[in-house]
Amino acid sequence: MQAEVTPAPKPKADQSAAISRQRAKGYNLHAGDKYYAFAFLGPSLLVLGTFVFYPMLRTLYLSLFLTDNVGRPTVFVGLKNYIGLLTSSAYQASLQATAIYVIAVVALTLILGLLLAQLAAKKLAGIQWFRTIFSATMGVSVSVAAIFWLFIFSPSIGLFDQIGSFLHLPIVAWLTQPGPAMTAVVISTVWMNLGFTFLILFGALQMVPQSLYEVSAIEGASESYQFFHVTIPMISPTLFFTSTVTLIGAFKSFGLIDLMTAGGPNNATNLLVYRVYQDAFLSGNYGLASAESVILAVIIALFTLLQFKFLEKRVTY
Amino acid sequence: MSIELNALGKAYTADEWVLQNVTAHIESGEFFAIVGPSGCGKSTLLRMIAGLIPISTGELQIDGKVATDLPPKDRQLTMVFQSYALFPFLSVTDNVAFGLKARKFPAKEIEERVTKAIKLVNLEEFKDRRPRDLSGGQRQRVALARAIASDAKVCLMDEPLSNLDAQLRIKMRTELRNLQQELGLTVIYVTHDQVEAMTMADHIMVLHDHKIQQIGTPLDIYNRPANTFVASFFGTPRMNLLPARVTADRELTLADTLKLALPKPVPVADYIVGIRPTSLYLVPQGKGDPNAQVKTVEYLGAQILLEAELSDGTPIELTADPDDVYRTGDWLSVGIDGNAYVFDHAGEVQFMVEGGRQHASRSHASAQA
Repeated sequence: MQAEVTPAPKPKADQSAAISRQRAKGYNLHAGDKYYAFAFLGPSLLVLGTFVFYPMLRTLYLSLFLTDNVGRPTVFVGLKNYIGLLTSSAYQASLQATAIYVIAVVALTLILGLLLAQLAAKKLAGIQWFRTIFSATMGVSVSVAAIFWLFIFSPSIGLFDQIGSFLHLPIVAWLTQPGPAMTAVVISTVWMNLGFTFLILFGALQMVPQSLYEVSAIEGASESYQFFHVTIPMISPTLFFTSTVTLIGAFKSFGLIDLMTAGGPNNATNLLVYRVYQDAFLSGNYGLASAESVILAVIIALFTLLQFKFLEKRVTY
Repeated sequence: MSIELNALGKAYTADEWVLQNVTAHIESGEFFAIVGPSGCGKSTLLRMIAGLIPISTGELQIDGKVATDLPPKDRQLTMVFQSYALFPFLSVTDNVAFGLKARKFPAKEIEERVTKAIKLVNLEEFKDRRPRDLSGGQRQRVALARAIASDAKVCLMDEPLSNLDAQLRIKMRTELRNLQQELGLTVIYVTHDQVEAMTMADHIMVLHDHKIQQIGTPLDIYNRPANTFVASFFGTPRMNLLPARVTADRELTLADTLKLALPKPVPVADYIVGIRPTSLYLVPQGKGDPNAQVKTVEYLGAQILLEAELSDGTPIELTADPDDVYRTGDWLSVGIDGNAYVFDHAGEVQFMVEGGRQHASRSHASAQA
């Protein structure tokens, strides 16, 4: 903030001092301005305060307590919720499942999204059709997608097992065995993510000037060389953006898990978010669920920070 | 390396030819300009030579070998784009080294070539900068350096100077030309700017209407235009094209106003006569009949450009001494004292009338019938 201007020692400097005094005033709010500022900020402060800041603080507070089954704090337990969680083998298994799920979802979403975007960027007859289809999952709701995937994964009569039996492969009980169940939710989540990721990456690909590819072709770069040395660097800001958004989204996946496996079988798909839901709303263990939320938030923040720290260096705007 | 274009053609659909029957021979070490108005197919032709778009008909030879269907990387050429096509995420050095790295040259050779190329275009102090931190002229040089580093003996240039401001463009013309001479490069240079072509090229190909109009040295093109298009496209101010009729055994009357004596009789037909503004002169006042009225006066510094109307209403441009004063509405007496080009009604050149001063005399349309 600009400090008060010292009075000019000589009359000659009076004028400039007056000007800078006037300027300095510009940085200070008049009494009336303050009201305006609050009037403009008020609505968003109110909304954010009610729905973001207060719940955050309340979660932090609750994570230090045991609660009754409607969420009122009863006994202060300090960090015991956290310690209990981090030493529980079930929670560790959940952490592990989440890690596998997130890594698989982010990697597959980006790779497949980029592949589809590359395909859709080709100038072929009827490509417009495919562009629409590729981005169509954006318009599908989670519940519809879950039902649709449940059918595909259903044992014996489902599409996957039909194809499998046609090829004389053993029948897989997709949603009732731990490994296949994780595979199934990963596939469904990636499918749901693809529309958005495709659209964003496709847009980015369209923005790469054609002349860069032309000059590369003339200078002797192969298609794959062009992909890694022209395309990837040119769309790196978008890749960074989609990877961050997908990562955060994967940590927060709830709908598909709830509708397809409900965390099962044998907690194989019991991701961190789903645990929070189970502990809070099914078991009424709000203190524990709050602690889990806080841990999840910290993990997401940490990963996002790491992403910014390491990936952004490679991004060229 | 010489290049041979043998009846090249390009069509996107069966009966929509973008280019037809383009035949030319480009000598090794030659600066060859392809000139034409926008949409004439000049960039298409360049891209066909580069291999960026397939050739529909005809044959392309590079260095005596058929290259019609070779992929771009095997044509041993390099290209400079109007947009420069620099990689925004690479430094100047890495941009210049891009092709060499893609072709997996040994690191030592890459470094040598890149250093040499950057030195040639005077960019040593900027070698670690990214393109966005360079001025337009510097970016242009980076694109040039990349072309030089590749060591290809043929360089295709697609309007490389169009994005530069006027002063820099003129400076770069000389630089480009010097560089081309120094390295013995064969350059095929596409431009819409006839001055660029005239000042830089050894030979010029004029493209218009999907076809070659003329190929020749700048002097040829200027002094012996093959048709009305070439005649009016080259030279500033533009050549006047006036309708002409045979009015006597060895005489044409232009726009029912100016008489042109012919060295030989011509068949009676409609002609078009081209006269450059510099080939017209003004008869001192009182000596000739006034036959043109001034419409606009443009001071160009060394001369004045007058846009006038002949007495039958045909517009005509001529140059005048900047010391004289002309006003809109003034009546002038215009005569021919330079070369005149006689074209047939289809615009093909028939012959040239060598300049000799002939006094103009007014002739009325009604005088002849």
